[in-house]
Amino acid sequence: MPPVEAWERVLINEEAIRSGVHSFIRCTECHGGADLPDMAQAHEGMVADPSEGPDNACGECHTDIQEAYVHSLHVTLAGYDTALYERSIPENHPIIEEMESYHCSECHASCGQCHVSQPSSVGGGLLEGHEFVRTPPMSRTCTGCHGSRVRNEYTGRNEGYPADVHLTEARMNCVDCHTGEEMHGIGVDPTHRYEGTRQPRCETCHLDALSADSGILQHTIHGQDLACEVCHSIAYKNCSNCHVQQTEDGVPYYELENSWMEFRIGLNLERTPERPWQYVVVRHIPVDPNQFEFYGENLLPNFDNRPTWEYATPHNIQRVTPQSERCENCHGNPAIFLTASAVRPEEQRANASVIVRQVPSLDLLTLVEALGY
Amino acid sequence: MKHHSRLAVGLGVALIGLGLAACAHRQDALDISSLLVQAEVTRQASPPLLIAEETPTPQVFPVTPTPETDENCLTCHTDQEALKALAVEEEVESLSSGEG
Repeated sequence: MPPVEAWERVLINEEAIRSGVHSFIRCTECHGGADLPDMAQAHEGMVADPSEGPDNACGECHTDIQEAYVHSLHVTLAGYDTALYERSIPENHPIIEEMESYHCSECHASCGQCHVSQPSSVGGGLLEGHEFVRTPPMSRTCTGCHGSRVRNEYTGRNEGYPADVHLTEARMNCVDCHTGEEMHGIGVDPTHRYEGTRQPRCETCHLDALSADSGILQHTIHGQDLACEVCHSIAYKNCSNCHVQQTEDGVPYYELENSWMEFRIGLNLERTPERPWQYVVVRHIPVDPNQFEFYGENLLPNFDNRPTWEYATPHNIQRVTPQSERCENCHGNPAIFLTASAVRPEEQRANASVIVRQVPSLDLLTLVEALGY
Repeated sequence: MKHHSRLAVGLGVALIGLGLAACAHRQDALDISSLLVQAEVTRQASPPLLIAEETPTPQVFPVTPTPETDENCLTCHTDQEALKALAVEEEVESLSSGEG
């Protein structure tokens, strides 16, 4: 995302601010401060993002959205807690929360950080001179945060790997799949992003391709055994870890040891009616046992409670991939499965539930049976 | 010949009579006169109560007739040159490394 100058971030479009329903609300009604000519006095007590926190100014009118939104993962960041607490013990939670407040909490989104400005985690800056933008612009909001993996995969910025077919062929934006309803939450408290109803769903658009009479042999054979991404995604970004620290002046920063492009099929850890597949795509997430040692020793004593290779939904979907081209590209090919040899020795136990012990072979008899001959 | 004509006339009259009698006894035959009465009754019935009449008078919220804003805030935040002079931030060098 190109840097935005400090003055540009707060430059207001007068025409926008004087029109529309929000023009009936004074600046100070939402932002506080005072309508005075002196800058210092005017800014005293001013809140840059009045949609942030429990006193969300937007929620006063948009009550229907506010009700669900406060439970959404964009606000609660519950996914972080789930991933870390499960690897830790309750005694360590306060220290982990402190660490999160320095390194993770910036990565949430308020109403304003999608509909009025860029997210603060990327420096903020008004989108359209404080116009209230109904549909957040993908490149300045969504991929501002979801950049190194989603944006780079979706737009083909990983050298040698094409962009997602939904972009190249259909010019689809994030919101074409991820609806406002999904973003605003559904009023329940999910503990991570893959909990509950699967949103979005490929079959919402591709129902004909999944039906029994689709005429697509691979769909008929594999049925509910494979997540769509197993056949239709390509190599994606994996990260080794994310060591967090602070400078002597208390400025937080992180160090990522390395990242790499790799495609691996693993076992589906949580098979549910919504995600019934046996095989899914797994991504190495940025975690190792010592990455929070700046804040305390052994903060993740139960590191092996969760895999380091986790179920993923890469945003680099292709109609034709090596997996979909030939049966033997998957069957009998350990190079694309998360076998034990693909996992670091110190992470074997953590990944025991997702490691593929026996790579499916190209058993013609099984194939014939599957086809019902 | 004259005898045959009288017989034919007699038979015709008898058939017409039978036909009229049959119609007079049909239960499902339309009784137009009763329909007309019903229609008249419907027209004369009192009109249904309007729901709106039972609803309390809606509360009228005061609406600002024209958009208004804090002029001092706007004067400054629409002045590009003023903002360039005033909106200066301290550059903080990030020590973070690797993709976030």
